[in-house]
Amino acid sequence: MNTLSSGSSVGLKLRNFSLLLVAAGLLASIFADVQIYASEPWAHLRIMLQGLFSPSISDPQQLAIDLFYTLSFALIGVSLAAVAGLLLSLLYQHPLVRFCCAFFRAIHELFWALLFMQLFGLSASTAILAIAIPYACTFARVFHDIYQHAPIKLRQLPELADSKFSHFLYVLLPQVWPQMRSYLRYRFECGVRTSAVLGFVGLPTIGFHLETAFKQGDYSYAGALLLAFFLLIASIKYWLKVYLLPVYIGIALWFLPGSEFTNSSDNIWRFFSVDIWPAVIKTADQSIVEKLLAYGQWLSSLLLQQGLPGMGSTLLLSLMALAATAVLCVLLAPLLTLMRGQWLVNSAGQCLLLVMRSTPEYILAFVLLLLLGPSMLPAVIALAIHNSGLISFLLQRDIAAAQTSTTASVSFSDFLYKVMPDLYAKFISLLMYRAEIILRESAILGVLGVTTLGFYIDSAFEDLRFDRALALLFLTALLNVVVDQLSRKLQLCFSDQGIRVRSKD
Amino acid sequence: MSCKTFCLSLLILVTSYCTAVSGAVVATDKVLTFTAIPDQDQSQLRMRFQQVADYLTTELGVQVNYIPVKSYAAAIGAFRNNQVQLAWFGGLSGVRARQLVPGSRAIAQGIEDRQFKSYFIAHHSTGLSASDSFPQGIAGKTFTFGSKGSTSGRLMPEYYIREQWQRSPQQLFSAVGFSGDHSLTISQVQAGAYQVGAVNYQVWQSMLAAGKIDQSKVSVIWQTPQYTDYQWTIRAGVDRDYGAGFSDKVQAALLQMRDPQLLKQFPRSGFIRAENADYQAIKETAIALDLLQP
Repeated sequence: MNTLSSGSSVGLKLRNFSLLLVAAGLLASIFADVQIYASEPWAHLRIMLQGLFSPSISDPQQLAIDLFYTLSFALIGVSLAAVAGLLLSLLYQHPLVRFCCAFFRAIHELFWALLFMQLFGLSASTAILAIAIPYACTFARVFHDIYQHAPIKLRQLPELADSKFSHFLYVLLPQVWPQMRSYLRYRFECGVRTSAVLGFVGLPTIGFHLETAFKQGDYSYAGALLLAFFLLIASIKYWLKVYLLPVYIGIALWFLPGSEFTNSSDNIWRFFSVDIWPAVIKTADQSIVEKLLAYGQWLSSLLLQQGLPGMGSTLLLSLMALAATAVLCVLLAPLLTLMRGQWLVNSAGQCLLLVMRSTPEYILAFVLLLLLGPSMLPAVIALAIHNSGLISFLLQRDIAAAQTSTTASVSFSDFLYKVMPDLYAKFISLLMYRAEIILRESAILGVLGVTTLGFYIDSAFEDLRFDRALALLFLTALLNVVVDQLSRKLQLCFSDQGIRVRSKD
Repeated sequence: MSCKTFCLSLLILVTSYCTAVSGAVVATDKVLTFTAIPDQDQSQLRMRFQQVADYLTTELGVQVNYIPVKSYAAAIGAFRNNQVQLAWFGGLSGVRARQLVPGSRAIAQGIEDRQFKSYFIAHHSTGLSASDSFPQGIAGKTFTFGSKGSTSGRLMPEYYIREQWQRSPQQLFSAVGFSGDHSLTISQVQAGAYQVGAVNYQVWQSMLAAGKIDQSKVSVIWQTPQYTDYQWTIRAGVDRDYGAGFSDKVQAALLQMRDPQLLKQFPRSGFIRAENADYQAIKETAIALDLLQP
């Protein structure tokens, strides 16, 4: 009785929340620029499709090197992040740690790369740190969430209460290790994607040539690169074993690209002492108070001109993308569930998800720009495709689990009344988790002329105005901390109750 | 068990990363490295400039290497950090680089760079046609610049737009994009993704000659007044590092470049002497548009 009533109230809450999400997205679209500009993309699209479906490659050796570096950076970056994230996750209750994690997570890997490039140049350290830092913060959060859901709690083993570390080692870790391992595997896939995207700013990964190929209209080459990239990601599950990690990491480290960049200590000093401060406070005969005043003035005018408008469009874009992602996921879920019955159709579904989640948003946006013209619409669709591909991929496992416990094939009504209600709480919690990522991914869509915070940050880096870049990155990070707090509250509100209901079943 | 292997792998990872990073400092012989801003045809950059590197190696008697970069900012960053000592910059990127490394100088420019210009191009559906005066009809259309740091694709076009209307492009156009490079600007306007765009006239002409432009779809509607653009800039301190008079030697080698095969890579008909003062106007424009700190 109790279960039933609490179940229905959670259901209601979830329904209302979903409706609210979609309504917010629609409302945002009123204020945002979502106009479609008539264009004549067909000639160009035909060339593009022809190229993409006739992949050819002139330099397979280069491709092999690119793929190798993509993997190496991802391997080392994600492994470092896992270590750091593991340590941080133990301290995650501490508000300061949580704040710092949300703060550093908020900064897009591309911007980390642009920052470290000022310090270490175009080197392996830049790529690895750009992956490791935001990923460590993500690991911390997710590992912490996993511990929260561990079934055996401390009070059942009072003799370990006095040592937090033994408690972690002997109580928590054995329980959550399978989940952590599976998350590590998933995160590694993300790491490979990130590593590829880092090529867009000049690091020697597959993204370097992919972006060039798209820019130059060399679509056969782009097709070959994308295909190779998809195959790489699809193959991860066959060769990534935790016990082989040391071997892989050893190989990756041995063959890392060398760098002739030697004067990094000078750069680090220069960056922090000169680069990140605006010219207005660099005049010699200023007192501290004058400097502070000048800095305040500079900051407030920056906020007014770029920060606030940027924040506005970032939020609008994120709300719309979130709503579109939700709708697309809800449309995809029944399709994928019904597809599971047949082997061939199922593989087609898996391929679709792989393509959706692995194609860099930049490239999706590029194609959509040709079709729809410049506005927020291509950005929204690109973000929705990518994120719904990811969420659906993650939900797949739960659909599979639900299915083995019931019948072999699922009918549509089974889906509506069994699978979907089971999944929905998880779905919303994943969606909230992606909300944060959508917020920062809007950064790399500057080609569309959408003036998000990321657009202004990118401009600041392009203009070598690190003072502006840093101030805006700070603002982005703060925005993310707020969103993170909100989404945490919502997640607690839904997923915990969802889990409670299920565990009572 | 698996937990133990995990911990072990972590240990190996951390120690080996530390050794790898500390060992990454490689002693280098005296090598001169140069780069060029990736303004067009990026896939061909290495092929284009390797020939120039070979030419300079024979002329200077020092090993000269070329490294490709992905963006204008990366080219400037490499120059600033002494990863490159010589660079083929655009007007704005050169000014920025010389501001960051005081004592650096512009030593040579293309003959065409004295009278450089940008083309405004439009998709045929806009109904705009070529005119001698500023095309008033572009207001309210969608507009794309090239790279954010480009002189001919951003700085000068934006300057003339602001001069005409006293308003920013964002206020004037219904959407403002940054395609990233000149060839992309042309293909996006040709496909109608953007209605109007601003592009380096040299890139337009070479793409036209290569048959990559369908003039029934996209055409030039206006050309900006002339300004000074690309130049070779050499870093401060090369005379100390490579021997007295080295920068003059580099300048002489550049000015003597006659091989059409080499000049075609820029594409310029030859190089002439240049100095920092030639770019004063560009510098002032950049400051006026808040693209450079005074």
